[in-house]
Amino acid sequence: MIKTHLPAVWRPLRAPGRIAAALCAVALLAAGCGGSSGSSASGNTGTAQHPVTITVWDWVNSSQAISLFEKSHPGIRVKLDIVPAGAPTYAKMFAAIKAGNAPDVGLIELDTLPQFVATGGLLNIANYGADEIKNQFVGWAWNQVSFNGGVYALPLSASPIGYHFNQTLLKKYGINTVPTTYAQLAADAKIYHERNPSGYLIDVPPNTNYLALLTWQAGGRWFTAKGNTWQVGFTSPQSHMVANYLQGLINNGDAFTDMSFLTPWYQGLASGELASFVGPQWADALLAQQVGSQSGKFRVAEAPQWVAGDQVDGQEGGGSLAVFKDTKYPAAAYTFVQWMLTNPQAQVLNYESGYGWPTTTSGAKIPQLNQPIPYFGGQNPDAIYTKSNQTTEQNWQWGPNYNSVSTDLNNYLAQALSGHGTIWQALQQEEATELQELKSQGISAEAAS
Amino acid sequence: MVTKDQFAAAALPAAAARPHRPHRRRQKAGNSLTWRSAGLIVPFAVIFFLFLILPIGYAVYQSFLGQQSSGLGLGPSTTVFAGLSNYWSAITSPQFGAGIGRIAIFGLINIPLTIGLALLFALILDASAIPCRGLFRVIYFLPYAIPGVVGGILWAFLYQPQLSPYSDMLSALGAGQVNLLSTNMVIWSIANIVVWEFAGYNMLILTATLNAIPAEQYEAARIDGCGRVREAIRIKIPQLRPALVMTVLFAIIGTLQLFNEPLVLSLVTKSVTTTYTPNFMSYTEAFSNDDYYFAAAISVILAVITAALSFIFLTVVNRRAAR
Repeated sequence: MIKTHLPAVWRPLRAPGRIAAALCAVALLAAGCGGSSGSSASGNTGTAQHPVTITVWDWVNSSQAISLFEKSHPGIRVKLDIVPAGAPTYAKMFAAIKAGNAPDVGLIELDTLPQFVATGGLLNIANYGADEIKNQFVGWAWNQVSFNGGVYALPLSASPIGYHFNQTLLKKYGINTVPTTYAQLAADAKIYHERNPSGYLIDVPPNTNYLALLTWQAGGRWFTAKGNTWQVGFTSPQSHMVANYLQGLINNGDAFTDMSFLTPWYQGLASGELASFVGPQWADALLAQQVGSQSGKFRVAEAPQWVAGDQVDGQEGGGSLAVFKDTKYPAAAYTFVQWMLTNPQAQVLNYESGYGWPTTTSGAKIPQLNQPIPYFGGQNPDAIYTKSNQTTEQNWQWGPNYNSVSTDLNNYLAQALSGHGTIWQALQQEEATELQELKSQGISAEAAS
Repeated sequence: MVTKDQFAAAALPAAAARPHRPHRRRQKAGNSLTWRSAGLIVPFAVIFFLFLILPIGYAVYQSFLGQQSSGLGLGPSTTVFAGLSNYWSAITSPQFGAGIGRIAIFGLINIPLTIGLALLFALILDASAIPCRGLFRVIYFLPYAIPGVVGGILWAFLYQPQLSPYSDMLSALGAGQVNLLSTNMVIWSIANIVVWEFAGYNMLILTATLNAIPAEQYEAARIDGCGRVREAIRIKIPQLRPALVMTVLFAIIGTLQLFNEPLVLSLVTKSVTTTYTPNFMSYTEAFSNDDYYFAAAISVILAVITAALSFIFLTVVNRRAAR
């Protein structure tokens, strides 16, 4: 921290006009280290005459919200760098953290956030005011950004889930009631495939995020921080149950097994080979875009439950905005992040620019969410997603190296779905790989009991 | 004109003044030459060192490091000397082993096919009876001019079961529903892309060599009653030998570096994992798992295997040539 802020103190000494900024930086240093409240930090946000510039790495074009922000905050200029989504940008961010030239603010998915915390490259924003707005966020989402005694980002987007089904096809093959449990879904998948041998009701993609969603919904956990040790639970009883359910579908030949959200999967939906899937709200826009031929035929229902009558959901995705530790203007950067998530106009613009479902309770009430969707034949799925977001199990946690987990497990699952082993074996393999990998890095980990 | 010796002597009047010690003079002149040639080599050497030796050295250095944290691993971590542990992890990794196995099989399919087809095309186009030779040469060469990734995307669409015209053709021929991207088929599909890309390129190298064969040899052969096939076997192929050695060597190196095609196909099929080839695995470790040290170890192993295979191949070929 001290190393980070020294230049900010030094440089203004050579430029007398900026001594005020230097003093602010000192105040900030005190705030960051001493733990005084966020108000003293907010001074470091520049002035209209001497604005500070923060750089944002984002793969959603949020320029409209940004220009609005710049109008109401004349002391802060925001430079938006639109970067590739996900992995390529993370690689760049990891490298930038090491090189000490990370941006001020960046978009990081919730599942990868702990890995960034592990690099030590993110700023703990608890003292900048994040702790004070905790109650504005949905519980599960807040838990995703606050751990290890700090707050490392503000949750930006949620991905509540629903059962997306091609109503025309389901009716055609006599599936007249929408399955509400996974057991019923499996039974229907069998009937459906018997009546339509060239088609499948449901998919089992080799997708780690989907497996995580089902496990999350089942109340299982892959990672639990217990004291100073990670409890790794890829082979927990809940994981076992999920693996058996999916394996059953595969063994009976009742499932479509291509990777979700890639071309063959969309083609499956477009051609009618795949009739339904359990998936996130952000899939809605993708369906309209990629599976236009089925427009008007799809509907959304509440996601099936593991236990009949339960109301427990998980999530498939979600993002956050984090402030990087090396930022010269932490208060300005934090101000921007908080404004993006809590300003009512920004919430609307964020949704329209494609950030997905809001994580704030106020954001979830914007009228843009509560509207009939032409692709779903005029159905308004707002209530379904709102409920899913509220009933999402609160304590799911991602591990400190999710990128390796998803790489390895995706590969193991792909092998299992290609007929080399089972999903349960893939999970056992992952458990062993993960324990070994964490231990080799000196991280304390054990199999969850 | 100033000859080399005059130039050296003029530059060293002291040495030139002692003609009774010619040995010493030569030595001095030699030294000065060394310095001057050093001056010519330095620009190259600096760039060679900065952009080849240094990065390789850095990769080797990184391959001996590791990231060490404690507890939950959410605090700052330190970089430590890891000895050979990255190498050990790579060698014992089943995924790395499987990747090596895949490129071995891939090489056995790809190298003979690419070079065989290149040789065949080159010989056919060299036989003067073929009309529009230039046109065919361009057609065969064209795939090489298409960027590898673009070629990969193109073939990815042609392979997809729901779209593939080949799957349709095969099922029309009674082969049933063939998925060209299935786990067992995909290696052939990748080989097909690579052959398509490189056969024409290698053909061009061989064609250039064929063009250098003097026409007198063919005349002499024809007078001796040599037909076209025999001409190819007795005159052309023996003289193509150096070019063939080079193209096979490039094909071996290309095989070990297989990356573009699996990367593109991994986006459309689960049969190609992100550790499909060692090169792909190294890429994944560095850019998706943020483990540059492990990636460096994989790269070093791959480089050593490449160097060893090239050396073995050249030794075997040279030994045969010597016999």
